Amino acid sequence: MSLHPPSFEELAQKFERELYLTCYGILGHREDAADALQETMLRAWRGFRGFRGEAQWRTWFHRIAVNTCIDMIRKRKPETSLNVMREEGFDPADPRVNVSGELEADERKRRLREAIGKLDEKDRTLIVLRDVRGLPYEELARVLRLPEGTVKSRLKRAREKLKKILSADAELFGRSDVSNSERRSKR
Amino acid sequence: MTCTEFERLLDQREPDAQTQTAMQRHAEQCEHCRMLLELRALDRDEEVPELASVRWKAAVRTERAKAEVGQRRKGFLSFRGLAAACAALAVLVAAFTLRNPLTNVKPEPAMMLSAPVEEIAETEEVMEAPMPALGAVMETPAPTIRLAATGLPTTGNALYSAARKSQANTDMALNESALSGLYAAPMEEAMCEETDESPDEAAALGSVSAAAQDAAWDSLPDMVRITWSAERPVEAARQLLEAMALPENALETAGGNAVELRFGINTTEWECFIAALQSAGCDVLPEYDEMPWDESGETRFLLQIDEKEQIK
Repeated sequence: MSLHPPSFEELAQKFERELYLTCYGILGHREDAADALQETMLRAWRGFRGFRGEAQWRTWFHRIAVNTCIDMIRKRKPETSLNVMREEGFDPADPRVNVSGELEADERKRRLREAIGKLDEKDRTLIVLRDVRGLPYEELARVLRLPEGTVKSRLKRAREKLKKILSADAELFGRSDVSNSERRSKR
Repeated sequence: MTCTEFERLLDQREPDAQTQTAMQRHAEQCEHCRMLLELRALDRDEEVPELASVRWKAAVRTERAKAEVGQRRKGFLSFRGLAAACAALAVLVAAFTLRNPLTNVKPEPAMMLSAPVEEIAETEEVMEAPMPALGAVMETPAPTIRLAATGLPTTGNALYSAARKSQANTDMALNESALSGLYAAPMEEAMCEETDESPDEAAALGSVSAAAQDAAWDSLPDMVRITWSAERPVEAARQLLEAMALPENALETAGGNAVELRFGINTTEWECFIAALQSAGCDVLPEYDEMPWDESGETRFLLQIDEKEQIK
């Protein structure tokens, strides 16, 4: 273990992939994720000297990345966003397309991302940080500055919403129109 | 297996084969957990595009360069305050000298500091009047300047090596015995025309106050310690510096006869600084014509100004 405190470059390099993927998950586009990564690193660099160690580096970097992504989402105009998505090759799910094997797996991923993109920014952030990036609840609560219980209840609701969106895609995601909670209530 | 157990196992980095099979079986039956499994695998093959990596690094480098330039500017502004202080100090020394009962000799108007202090700090040719010949008999006390380095980066400069060695076991506290003789400089005469201005009025000249109040003082690492060996000039100098509205945390009186200032300095500023000291009648060794350390290194140095012994 090195005795000297880590340099900004060391830390930034260490978290680069994680942050990029978080941004990609929240924003849904690689180009936007690259922009967000750059902005995140700049913000982190500006704040690096003032960092007093109240949070872990990973938490701190993630908090900056999430705020950056949310800022970017809010700056986007919804109608423009959809147009841009279409120009970039976004193709709304076509249930008639018959896919199989690896292609199906890729298609499922694409539609999963698409479904995540349909969530509002808060739900999306929760799903990406917890379910895609695998941040523990405790750390997620620190990143979002929310109580852990609140994080869990919001995440539960976000997952339900995601399932509903996916259920519309019956061919790829099966009969998921009946959620677990609904199933339980039917019993 | 319950969904809660499944989620907990999902957080395990490398579950064993048996666990993986159990999880797979559960996911086949549970849509909720299948979704979690797929979400977790969503980024598995994703990498950071090389261009994205290059872009943020370049952006940070640019930002860093900008910040460094800004820091130097702030340092320069701070330095201007100090340089002006030195120039004003000359006026103070002159005023004190002319009133010194030991000498009681009215000096020739050889070194007249007629320029406003900000001009003194910024121009190379400060003295318009001819300088007196070196080695002329001194009739009035004048300051000798000594510079001593502490915590210097490695350098080929033998003087600094010696200084570092001699200072190895001392703190920032001024060690007269270690310093004396190292940088003892020959003296030039410093004669000043008598002026009607009080030291405080002299200190208020030019842009001293504005420059000295620069917020950059607080963040700069270097330190200048100005020391006088005689009690009265030190007190007067301290009053002078205080009158210049330096921020309280920039001016540290170290007790006894020392006054400390903190400021950052680069090569250009160093040249101005030395010029200002010279214009204030201080003699500087030729070694200090150039800044004797790497600009990027964090350096502390002591600036010690002793009252010269009277030449009988």
